[in-house]
Amino acid sequence: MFRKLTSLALLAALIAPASQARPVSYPEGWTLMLRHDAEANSAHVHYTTDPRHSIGLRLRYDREAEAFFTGAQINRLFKRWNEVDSQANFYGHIAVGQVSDQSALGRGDELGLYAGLSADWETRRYFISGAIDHWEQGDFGTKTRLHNRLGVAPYVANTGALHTWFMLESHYRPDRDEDKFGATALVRFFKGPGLLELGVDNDGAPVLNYIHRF
Amino acid sequence: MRILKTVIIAAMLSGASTAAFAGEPPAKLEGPAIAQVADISVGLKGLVCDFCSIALNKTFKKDKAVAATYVDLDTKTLSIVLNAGKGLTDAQIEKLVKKAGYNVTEITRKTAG
Repeated sequence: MFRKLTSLALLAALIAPASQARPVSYPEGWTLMLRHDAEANSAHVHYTTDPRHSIGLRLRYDREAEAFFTGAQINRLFKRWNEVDSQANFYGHIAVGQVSDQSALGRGDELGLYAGLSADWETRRYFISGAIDHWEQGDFGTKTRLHNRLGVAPYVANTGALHTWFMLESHYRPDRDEDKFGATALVRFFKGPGLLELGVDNDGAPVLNYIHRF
Repeated sequence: MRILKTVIIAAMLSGASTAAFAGEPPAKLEGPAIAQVADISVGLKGLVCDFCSIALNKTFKKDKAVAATYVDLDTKTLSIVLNAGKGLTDAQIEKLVKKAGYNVTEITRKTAG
C-alpha cells in the first residue's frame, strides 16, 4: 500500500502542480483559498479536523461552461515526508455538490463531482508540485486538468519576513480540441498567514491566488 | 457614576496583578526575543515556510503549560516559554509537534541557575 501511494505521489509530482497549496492545515485551523484564472473563479474554505483531514466548502464559477459549482469538499493528507531541509506532501481531495446554470440556456441543475490528487516538494529555496484535477458536471461537461509547477526563491527569508518566489506553472487540458497546453508565470508573496500570487498566462490573462491561514 | 468608574479601575488593576503573578510573559515578549528566554528549544524537521510557523505556534499555544512560542526558520527551532509551575515532557512535546505536522530532531532544556 505504501509503495502504491508513493508511486502515485511521484506520478502526480511528475505529471502535474498544485493549484491548492496545502489543503490540510493544523488541527482546528481555518484556511481560505481563492483563485482567479482564465478558466474559472474558485473559493475553498476549509477546517482542519485532525493532522490528516480537512473539510470545507468549495465554490467554483466555470467561465467556459457558464456553470457554478457549490459543494462540500474533503481533503486528505495521505503522506508527509519531513526532512531537515525539506518537506514533501501527497494529498487527495474530493467534492460533491450541485452545478447550476449561469447562462440563458436554462439547462437546470446537475450533480457535480470534483476529485484530484496533488503532491509537492519544497525547500526554502526550491519548489516543485504536481496536481491532477477532474470535474464531472453532467450536461455542463467533464474536465481533466494536469498542472506542474516549478518555483525558486531569489532569497531565503526568516520567520515573519516577506518571502518572494518566482514560479512557472504548466497546464495540460486533454479534453480540449485546441490549446491543450498552457503556461502561467507567477510571483508569490508570502508573509505570515497570507500568501498572494500574481501571474499571467500565455494568452495574457491574469491569474490571482490568495491563501490565508487563520 | 464615580463608583462605577472606581470599580472598573479596581477590576483592571486586579486583573493585571493576577496576570503578573501567574508568571505570564511580559506583553512585549514576542518574536525572536522569546528564543532568548525560552525554557525549551526544540529542533524540527520539515520547516520550510511561515505556514509551518503558524501551525506550530497555534498548536503549542493551546496547551495550558505554554506561555509563548517562537519558530525560527533559519535555525529550524521552536522556542517555548512555559507558564510558571508548568512543564512539558519530551513525549508531550513530540506529540504536539507531530500534531502540527512536523518531526522533532532534538529537545534542549534550559539548565537551572
